[in-house]
Amino acid sequence: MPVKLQGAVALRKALAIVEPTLAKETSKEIASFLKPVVKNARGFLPSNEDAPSGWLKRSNAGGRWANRSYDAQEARKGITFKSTPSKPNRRGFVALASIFNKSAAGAIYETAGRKSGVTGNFTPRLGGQLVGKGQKMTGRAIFRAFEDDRGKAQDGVVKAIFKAKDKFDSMKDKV
Amino acid sequence: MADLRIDLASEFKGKKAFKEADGAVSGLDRAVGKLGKQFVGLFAAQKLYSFGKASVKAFAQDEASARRLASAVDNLGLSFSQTRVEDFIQNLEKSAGITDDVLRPAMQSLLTTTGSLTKSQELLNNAIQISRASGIDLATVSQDLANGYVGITRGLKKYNTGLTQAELKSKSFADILGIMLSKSAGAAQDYLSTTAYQMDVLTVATDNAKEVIGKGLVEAFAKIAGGSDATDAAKAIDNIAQAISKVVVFTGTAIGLVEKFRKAYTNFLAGGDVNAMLAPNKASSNRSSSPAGTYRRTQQQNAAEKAALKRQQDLQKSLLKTTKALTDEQKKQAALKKAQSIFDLDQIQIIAALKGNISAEDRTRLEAQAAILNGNADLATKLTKDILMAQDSTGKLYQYFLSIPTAKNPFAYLDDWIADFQKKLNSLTMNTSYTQATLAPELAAIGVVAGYGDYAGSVANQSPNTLYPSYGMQTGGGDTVINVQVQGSVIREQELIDKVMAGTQLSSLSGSPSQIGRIAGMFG
Repeated sequence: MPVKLQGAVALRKALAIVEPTLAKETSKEIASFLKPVVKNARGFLPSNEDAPSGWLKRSNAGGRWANRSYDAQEARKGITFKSTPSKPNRRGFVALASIFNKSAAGAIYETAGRKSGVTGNFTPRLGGQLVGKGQKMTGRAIFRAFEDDRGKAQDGVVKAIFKAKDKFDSMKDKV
Repeated sequence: MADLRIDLASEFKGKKAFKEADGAVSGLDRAVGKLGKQFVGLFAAQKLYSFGKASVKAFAQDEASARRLASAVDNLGLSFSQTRVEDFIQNLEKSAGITDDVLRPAMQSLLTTTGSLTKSQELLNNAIQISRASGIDLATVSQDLANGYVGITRGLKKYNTGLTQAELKSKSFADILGIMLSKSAGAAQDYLSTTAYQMDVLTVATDNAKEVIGKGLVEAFAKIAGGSDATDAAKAIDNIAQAISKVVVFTGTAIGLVEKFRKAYTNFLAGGDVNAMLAPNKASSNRSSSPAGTYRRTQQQNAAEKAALKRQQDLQKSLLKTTKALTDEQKKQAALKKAQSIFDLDQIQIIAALKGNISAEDRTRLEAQAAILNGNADLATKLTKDILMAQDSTGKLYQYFLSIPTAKNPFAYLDDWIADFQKKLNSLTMNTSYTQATLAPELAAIGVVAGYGDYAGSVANQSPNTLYPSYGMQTGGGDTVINVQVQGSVIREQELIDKVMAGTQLSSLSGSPSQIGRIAGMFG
């Protein structure tokens, strides 16, 4: 579960307007905590040789699986992070920092079997390990990397925002 | 598709908040000012429980490793040196920036092996130096050194000493350690100036703080729960953690309330000021204040070191004794072999002949034979030369003897003969086709029927054989019927088989020489 803060979005907006340098520094600092998780998550993706052969990209592929075939490079590219505030989601929450698994194949690898179990002909052949707490926060790539990180990234992000706030406060006092 | 993202920190802005974002800047001062307190409240509430748990765990691990080391020290008869060992570990922890959790097992392995406190301290310092230089963790290095101390030097290969496996085996541990220390000289000092060392010091300080807090928490929470051990403490921590989480969820201003709640709750249950209870008790140093205590400790330490030294000396003595016994046994075997040579018949004859009144030349010949029998090649060559030179003083005979080639195989010609014979056999050709001969008219006139192997006609024309009776066997027509008559009555085939088998068995048990020979395998 993400840590809930108050006033952080406003702080970052203010920073971007009043102190763009500090805003950039904050983004960089947040990124430095997210990068290791992303790198680790990319490492959990299987290579094309290790993925089930029937799932790989084929020249004559058609239908619904045409754009869901697995390509290790594409899946790796799909795992990214964002260190700036997002748009509010349906419940009204704004994420201050996020890690994504954007590609279709990456999402399949991430989540396959987390609801129905590792059964059937496809899921057991994926390998990897479903790690996480609760169904929504369980996966083989980003969720596993996040779990392995043991909250270091989360603490780092919060500290970075807090640090920016302190700096901003001190600048404000000087003015 | 599921929205695959992890939000590390978020803020609730309400559904229409994004439209009001511009207006929010005006309220920034208040929001930013409150941020610290709110963050501390919420963040601390989430982290308090996990930090408390981690601290208690760190304390428990530290306590367990200290107990293990204390037991090892006790078992070595160094119980009075407990404080010195603990002091040494603590000082080393501060100076080297290595946590006591790592140092204690390393010290324990060295102490158990060497049995000497001073030697273990020296080796632990050496291990740290080698570990810094090689990058191999301290536990592995200390274990390797402990093994090396008792002669198992195989593990020292990985430190790139430049010694071969054979040299590692043959050299003493002190020599090898000297080489390793010379190669890693200065590494420990250099490490002290690195950032990694500063980080290590910070880690040590953090861990120690965690252990101290953990100890305090265990004691305090145990008292809160009305008990005295860690189980009671765990129960209390869980209860308080649940209470804290409820407070956080329902009030949102966690930290102030939690603090108040915790203080009130704990003070009420503990029946006093918890802060006073949390203050760590001064641990007993176990150090005697009297000079007599110091004397006893020193005496015990000396005794233990003497015992360790004696053990090592005994081991060396035992090894020496075994080697000596082996050498003696080899000598005895050699003497026995020499004595056995006296009973060699060839030698007996030569020695007997040498005792007789013989010419100088014959004596030389006999001595040469004796030298050949005993395998003394130098003497045999010399005596052979003497004999040949005596027969021909010009030395030509001796030169001829030297030029004689090695004796050839006398049956070598047989190989050529067999090969030639085989070749001739292979060249032979046989006509495999068969041409039937025509029947001569004179044979046909006397009733001989044509055809290869057609015997039926000739048998039919023969007169009855009265000269050689059949003795029960009757022939007639094309079929031959053999009737076997068995003494007594045989009704069925199985009975016949049984009878034959019984007869065979009786025959084999009869004891006749031929049967015995067959059973003993004399014919095969």
